[in-house]
Amino acid sequence: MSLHHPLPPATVELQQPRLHALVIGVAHYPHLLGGDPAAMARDPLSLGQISTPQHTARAIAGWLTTRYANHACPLGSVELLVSTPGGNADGTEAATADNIENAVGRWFTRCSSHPKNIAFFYYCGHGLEKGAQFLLPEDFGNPAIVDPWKNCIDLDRFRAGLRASLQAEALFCFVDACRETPFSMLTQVNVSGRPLVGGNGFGTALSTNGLYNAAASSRQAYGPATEPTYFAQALLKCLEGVASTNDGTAWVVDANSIDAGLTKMLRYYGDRVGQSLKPQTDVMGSTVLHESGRGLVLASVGCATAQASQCAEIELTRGAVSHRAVMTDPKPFERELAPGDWDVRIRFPNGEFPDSQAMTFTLLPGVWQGVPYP
Amino acid sequence: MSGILKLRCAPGVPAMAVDVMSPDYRVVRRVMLTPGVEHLVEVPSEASFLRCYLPSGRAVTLADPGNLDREITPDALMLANRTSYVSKGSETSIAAERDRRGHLEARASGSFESLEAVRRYQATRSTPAPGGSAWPPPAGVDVVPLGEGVSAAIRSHDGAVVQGSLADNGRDASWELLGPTFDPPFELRLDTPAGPVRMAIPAHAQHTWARLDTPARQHGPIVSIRMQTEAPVADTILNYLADGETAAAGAMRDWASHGESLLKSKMSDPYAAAVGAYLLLRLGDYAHLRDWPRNLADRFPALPDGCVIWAWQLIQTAPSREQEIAEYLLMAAARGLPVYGHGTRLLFDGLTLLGDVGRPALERLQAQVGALVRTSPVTMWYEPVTTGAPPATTPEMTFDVAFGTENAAL
Amino acid sequence: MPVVFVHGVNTRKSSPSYEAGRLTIERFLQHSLAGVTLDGKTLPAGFTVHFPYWGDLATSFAWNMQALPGPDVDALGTGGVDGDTRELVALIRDALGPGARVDEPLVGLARYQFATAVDVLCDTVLQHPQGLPPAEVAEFVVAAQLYALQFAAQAGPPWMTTVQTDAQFIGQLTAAVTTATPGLNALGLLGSIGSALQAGVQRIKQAVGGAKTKLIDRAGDFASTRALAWGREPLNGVLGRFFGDVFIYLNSRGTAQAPGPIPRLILDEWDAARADAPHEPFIVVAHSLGGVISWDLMTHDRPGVDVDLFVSIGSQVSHFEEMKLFRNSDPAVPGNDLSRRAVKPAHIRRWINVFDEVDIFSYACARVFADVSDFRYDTHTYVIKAHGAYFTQARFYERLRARIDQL
Repeated sequence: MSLHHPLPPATVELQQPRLHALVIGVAHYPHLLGGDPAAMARDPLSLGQISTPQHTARAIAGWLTTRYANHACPLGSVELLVSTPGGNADGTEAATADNIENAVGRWFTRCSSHPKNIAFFYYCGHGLEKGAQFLLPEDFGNPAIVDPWKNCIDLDRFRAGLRASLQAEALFCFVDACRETPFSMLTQVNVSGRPLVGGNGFGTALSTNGLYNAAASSRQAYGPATEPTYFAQALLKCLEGVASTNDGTAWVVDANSIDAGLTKMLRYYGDRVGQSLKPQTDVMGSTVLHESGRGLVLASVGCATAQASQCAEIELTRGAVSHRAVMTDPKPFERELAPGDWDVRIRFPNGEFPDSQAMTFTLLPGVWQGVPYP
Repeated sequence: MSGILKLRCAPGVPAMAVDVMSPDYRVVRRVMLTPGVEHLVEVPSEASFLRCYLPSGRAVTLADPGNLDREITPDALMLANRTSYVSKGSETSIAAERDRRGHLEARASGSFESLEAVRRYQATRSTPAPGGSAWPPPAGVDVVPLGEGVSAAIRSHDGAVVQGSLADNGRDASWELLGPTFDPPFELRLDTPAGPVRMAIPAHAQHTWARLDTPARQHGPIVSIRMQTEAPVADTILNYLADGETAAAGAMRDWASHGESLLKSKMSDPYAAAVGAYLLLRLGDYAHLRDWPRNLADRFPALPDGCVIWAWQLIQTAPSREQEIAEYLLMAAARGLPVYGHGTRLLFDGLTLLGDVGRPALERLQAQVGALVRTSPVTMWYEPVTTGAPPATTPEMTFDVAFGTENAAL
Repeated sequence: MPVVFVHGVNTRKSSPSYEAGRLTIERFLQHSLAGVTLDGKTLPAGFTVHFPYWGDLATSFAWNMQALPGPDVDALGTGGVDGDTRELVALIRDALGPGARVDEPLVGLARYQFATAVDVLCDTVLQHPQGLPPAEVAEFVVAAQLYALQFAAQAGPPWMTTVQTDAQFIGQLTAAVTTATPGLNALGLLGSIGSALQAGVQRIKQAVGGAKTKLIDRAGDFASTRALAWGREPLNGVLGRFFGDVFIYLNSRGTAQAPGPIPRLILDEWDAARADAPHEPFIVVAHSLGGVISWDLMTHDRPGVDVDLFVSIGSQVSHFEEMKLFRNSDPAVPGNDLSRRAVKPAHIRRWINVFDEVDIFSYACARVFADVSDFRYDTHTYVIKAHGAYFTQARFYERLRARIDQL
């Protein structure tokens, strides 16, 4: 059973606007490298085992069930499928192609139960691209099946089907996967995948249709082995307030502000880990996804040079609130701050450089990197 | 204490979106700031401040508590751009900032250390070659070497080569493009170790410049390309959209809705009109689109974007006109790849929606482009693999494509 | 930093494989020679390898060697297989034997001789790096070669027992040798080398398949694969450039007082190398004509400078001495007594000369020179590949180190 929330299934609210989520994490590929040697795909496409998707899927599902807030469209349901090498002790279903297909069917039906619903889809696992984008379930490449692409999902046709058939207010589709084209994929015929959803016509129901890819075409997405991916971390920070806007009534996170927030967060993470991380998004519409209730600034403070940073003490002050990094603390000094006017003061206890005056910065939700001193 | 904020900008400030913010960080109003236009905004407090979205993509804040008669100057923006430092009237800092920028340009003779550093440089680089423009200008060449086995050449629609020139110890290549704004697009061709890469350049572009860096902190070389066109507002919109700042771009909604007039004049600019239409499409503002995208589609066959925009407008507003939608999508595909990256994505999506009807055209286009560089605001693609000499299919080269601004400091 | 590598003929920076090849040699030398102690001086870990590059001063051809007979006049024909790949095809077909299936040639070869299959893969990716950064190519080649060294040549690693396809083979090999960033998952391919290897396998498959249907069938027997490897086209090119470089060097080497451009470039690098690390042994490793040039320079231009170890590989030092082409050659030796040997000057403390009998450009030295240690090494390749194959094989460096330690 892949329904993660609410339980029992009969309690899922279908008469009122709700957000219905499908979250998939594939961290076990028995037919790829490092999997079962006796059942390896004839062409494993140089794809190996990964662990970050299980942490990612559970973090996203956990956030939805504990933090998500939207008075116009509260949480309705979360379907969760996770593949791990040892299976799931809590009974969560594995993310095989058939399980995904069945879960999509249930999710689709729930999403279409009310025209003001929000459909939320998050996939984390291996991905490929050859013309279209493909997502790889756990049992991709099973050598017992003659067609190596049978257990594969065609994301482009899946989205086309959703667009044509989904009767909901908004679709948020997060794809946390690579988009490379291995050379041997180019030489294969009949590369294809399951569309999962059919339909005809162009569909008009969706007022917001957002696709958020963790990686640009031909690029990789990354994540720490024992934590959620950088894309997921960036998304969760955006939802917690980094992408908040306030139009006069409340701090909210909408389809467009997620777009801008993800770009900035991933650029920041990329600079930190020495990779070029840039999401590729395609967003039409601006439906509010989450009422964050606050804005959040991710501040990263260092000096103009690494040498100065090493011997600096950094202090961030706003009213009675103060954060301080001493010389031995890692730099840049990172803190999550409330928006507002912050005083930054840099001191050099050993006198390598002159101490700074207090510098005042107006920080707004987003990523803020400073300061040009000395 | 509430009041009416008068807001205008001094000459030299490019068109940009500005949020008028209340002290509790609410957006009171979002406006498009252009020289000669004054906005009156009712604010809840004299401590209201401004958030300016610079054309280069950065947002800066300007505060001046108690002052409800605000004129934004280039110097104030330049200083604030340093890292959103709130200027408290420190004019001497402006001179220091200029010195810093000079230093930044001087460093350009070497390779930058990271993608961020390249972006910072490109955001502040002036249109003429850095380090001062030489006169007479260096002799032009057909194919400009950028280093690391990469060379660049621009051709006009009739195949004529636009000569480019090198500056900054051979690191910066630049081209002057002076064609009519309604001509078919130019094409930039980059020859790279991983195979040829092609990129569309709108015909209303005036300057294009490119450089290659091999940053120590990043995997693989970076090719950064900037274009500056005769429609700076369109350039700014495209930069906003590339950074996901759709909401900020929304301030240009009124400008975009005048796209129709850009098609009527003798010196029409269909490219600027297309950018405006893409913005309205993205905002879902079909009321402002009316039916002028059809004119764009019918009158400018060299710009497949018109067909794509019109087809998508119909998909959103009149999906029952399936025949007409299919006709325009297939017409776009027959004309070739759209000039703008967003248009190419919409065309591919639209042909997918057509199912079997669109599949042959979709497969033909996919075969034409080996791999799309989807982060580019203009359509850019690797030529497809050919038998016998396959290029790498996971190119490690990073392309950073954006639009430059008239005022280099912003 | 006192290891200097003097390259041989046919070395040009314009070649797509130059930098990856150079980095491969650098990393192998650093890996295998660290800790070498000669006369109390030790090479530390991470020592610098100097590469005086003289290829741009060497020969160029006004018509780009168009005088070579092209495929249109080559009676044998080559079955559509390009020169680079031809020897690999021959190698594989020899290993597989007549009548073998060639749809998964690399696995077939690996079952026969695992190390050779790794050699073929490394050679292919070095020759066709597919635009990958040279450091990445070199990193893979060195790692794959060192990995193969762990196993008996014919057995290979345990995973060979389950591998059925070439794609599985390169996947397993990549997974075994790729060092991922610790703690970081990429949701995609195991390093960008994967696609280059897949392209290489495709190239080999096409070549083997093409050879089977075109050349082998026409010639009628399996032995013709040797003819395939000997095809005139690539050999002619190599010979042409070899003689061109020889003539350029001989004509322009100058004198000790006024060295020509090639000697000046190499000597400057030697002098700088020695000055940088005076407490480390000074070792000159030279390939092919680089060995001839080095000998000429050591004996004529720098007769008083100690060289702790000279390693000539696939070189023609003895051949040139027989022709008395060195400036310090003694025409009186051997005279009528063929048991007499030319003298190795005392300042060249030790000399190891490496040759492969299949490498037609390599010569033994011990019957011409005194006090030289000849070292026979089998690259397990054919004529043309053999000349450059030493430097991409981990087992070569391993055996070289053993030889040095025996000195």
